[in-house]
Amino acid sequence: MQSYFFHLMPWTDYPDDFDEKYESSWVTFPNTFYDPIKGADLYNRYLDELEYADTLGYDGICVNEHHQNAYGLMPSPNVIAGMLARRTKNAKIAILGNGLPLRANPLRIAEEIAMLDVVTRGRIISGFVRGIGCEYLSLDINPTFSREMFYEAHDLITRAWTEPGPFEFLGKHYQYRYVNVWPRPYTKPHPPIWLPSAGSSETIEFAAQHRYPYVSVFTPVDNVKRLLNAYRTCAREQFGYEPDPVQLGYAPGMYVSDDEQRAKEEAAAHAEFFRAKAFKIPPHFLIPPGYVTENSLRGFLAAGLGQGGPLGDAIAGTPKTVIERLIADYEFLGGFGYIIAGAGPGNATHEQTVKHMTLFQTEVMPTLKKYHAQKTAR
Amino acid sequence: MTTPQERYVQAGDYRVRILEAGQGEPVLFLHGAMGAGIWTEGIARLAEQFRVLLPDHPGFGPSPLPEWLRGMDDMVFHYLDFLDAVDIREPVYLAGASFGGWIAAEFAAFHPERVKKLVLIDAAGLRIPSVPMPDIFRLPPQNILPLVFHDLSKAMALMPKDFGPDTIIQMFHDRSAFARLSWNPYLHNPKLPRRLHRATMPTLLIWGQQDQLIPPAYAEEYKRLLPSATIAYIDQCGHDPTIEQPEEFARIAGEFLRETRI
Repeated sequence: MQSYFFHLMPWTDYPDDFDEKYESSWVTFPNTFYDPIKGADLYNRYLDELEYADTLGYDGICVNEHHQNAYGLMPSPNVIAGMLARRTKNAKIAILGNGLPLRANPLRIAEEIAMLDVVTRGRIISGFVRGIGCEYLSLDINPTFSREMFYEAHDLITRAWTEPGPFEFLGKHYQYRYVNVWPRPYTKPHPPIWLPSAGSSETIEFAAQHRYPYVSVFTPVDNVKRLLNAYRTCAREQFGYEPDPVQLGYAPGMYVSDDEQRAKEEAAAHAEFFRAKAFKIPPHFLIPPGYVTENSLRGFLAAGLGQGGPLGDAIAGTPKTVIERLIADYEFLGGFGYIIAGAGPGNATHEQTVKHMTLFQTEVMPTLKKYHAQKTAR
Repeated sequence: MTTPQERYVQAGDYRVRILEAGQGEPVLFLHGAMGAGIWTEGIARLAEQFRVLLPDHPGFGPSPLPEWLRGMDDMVFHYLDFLDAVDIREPVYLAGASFGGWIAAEFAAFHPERVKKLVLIDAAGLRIPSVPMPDIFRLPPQNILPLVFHDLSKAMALMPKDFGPDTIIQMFHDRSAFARLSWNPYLHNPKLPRRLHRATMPTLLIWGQQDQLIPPAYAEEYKRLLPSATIAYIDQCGHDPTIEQPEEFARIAGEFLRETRI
C-alpha cells in the first residue's frame, strides 16, 4: 500500500460577490483577481508542503495540470515537477497528469518527462489525462477530437520512449519524420503511466488493456466501487488477467486532524469552499460537445451528473476515525493498492495542511499498510 | 402546408436521411446546427413552390459522426456525393441557414458550376473582428435562446416535450457534429473571404433584422465579398426566419429563385 500526497495549488481569495456574479472559477473568471504578490507566497507555500511530504515519507507527491482557472494554479505540471525534482529525495513525483490533447506538439511531453525521469533517476510517474471539459474552452482545443488525440499522443510518446530513433510517425493529428527523443528515459522501458480519470468507460478499458494504474479523483465511494469493478471485469473478461492491487487507486476527499469535532468542521468548510468556489463548474463547461462518448454521457446522466458535491462524503476526523473509515472503504471496494491524500482541498491553511498530511502519513498509513499487507498475503 | 416524406440515400459510403416535399425545380436546403430533421414552417412554405430536399448533415440526427468529417472541405465533398446520390446533375438552387449557410457558401465557392442560385439565411462562416458573435458553446441553453429568437414564444413551441436522457443525448450528438467543424476557428473559416469571389451565381442574403447570434453586419460582409449578392432583411425576426417569419421568408426566397432576370 503506497501513499501519495496530492496538491491542487488552489487560489484562495475570491471576491465577496463571486457566488452571484460569476458562473465559474474556470474559463471566464477574470484573472484580474489573481494577485502575483500573494501568488508568490502561495506557490512557495504549496511547494514547501509538497517537499515536506517527501520528508514525511510519502511514497509519492502528485501534481496536475489545469488551465485558466482559480481552482488549481499548475498550467504546467512539468514545470512544477522540475522545481520538485532536485528538492525532493525519495518520493516519486507523480504528474497526474499531462493533458495530452492540450499540447499541440506531444513530443514535447515525451521530452520533458524523459528529462525529469533522468534527473530524478527514475522517480517520475507519468500520468496521462485528457483534461477536464473546461480545458477545451480555455485553450480552444476541439473537444470532438480529444479522445482521438489522446490515444494518438499516447502511442507517439510511448513509442518515442521505447523505440530506437529516429523513426517516422504518421498519425491523423501528429506526423513526424524524425522521432528521436533525447534524452531517453531513465526508467526501463519507460516511466510508469497512470490514468487518472473522471470515470468514462472507454478510459477504464484503455487503462485495463495497458495495465495502467487507474484512479478516479473526487468520486463518491459508491461510484469508485462501480469504476474499480469495471476495471477488474474488463481486465478479466477482455484481457484475461487479474489486476494487481497496485493498478487500483483510491483518492477520497479526506481530512485528518487531532480533534474529531474540529476535523469535521474544518473539512466541511473546505468542502464548501471547494463546492461553491473552486469547483463551481456548470455542466456545459464540464462536458463540452463531443468531449465524451454518448455512451459515457448516458452513464454520467444515470449517475446523476452535477448532483451532490464531489467532497460530499469526505472522510474527516482523527486518525482513528479515518483508519476505521478507510478500512471499511477498503473492504467495500474490494481493496486498492495506493491511496492519494489530497492537501486540504480549497482554502485549508498551511498549518491545517501540515497537520493533516503529517497525521495521515505517520498515524493512518502504518495501520493501512499493515492491513493491506495482511489482506494481500492471504 | 406540405408534409415531407422521409427517405434514405447512399452518398458515397455514407447513408443520409432526407426529408423531401414539393414539386418543380429542386432546392437543396442545408439546415442549421439544431435543425436536423426539422421541417420548419418556412421550409414547408418554400416546398409549396419548389421540390425541397432537407438532408441531415453527416453526424446530425440519426447519423453517426463519421470519422472522415474533419473539416469544412470534407463537408463540401460530401455534398458532391449527395447531389450524385439524388441524381441532381444540373446546377441546383442551394439554400442554407446558419451553420448550413456556411456550408452552402463554401460549396458555392468551391463548385460555382453546381449552384444555380444561392440563398444564405443568417449564415455563419465569416468573422468580423469588431462584431463579436456570442460563444454558444459556453452558454447554457437558456441564455442561447434569446440570442436566437426575437420572439421567445416561437422557441418555446419548438422545445422538446421532455428533457429525458434520450433528448439530452440527441442534442449532445448534434452539438458534437456542429462543434467538430465550428469549435476553432469559431463558426468561421478564415480562408473563406478570399475564396468567395468564385461564387458568382445570383445570391440572396436573407437575414433576421434582430439576429443577435450572427448580427446583420455579417450580411453586409457577405454582400461585400460575394460578386452578385443582395440583402433582404426581415424585421421582427431573429436568427431563424424560417421559424419566426415563415411566410415572409418563403415569399422572398421564392421570388428570388423564380426570378429569371438577373
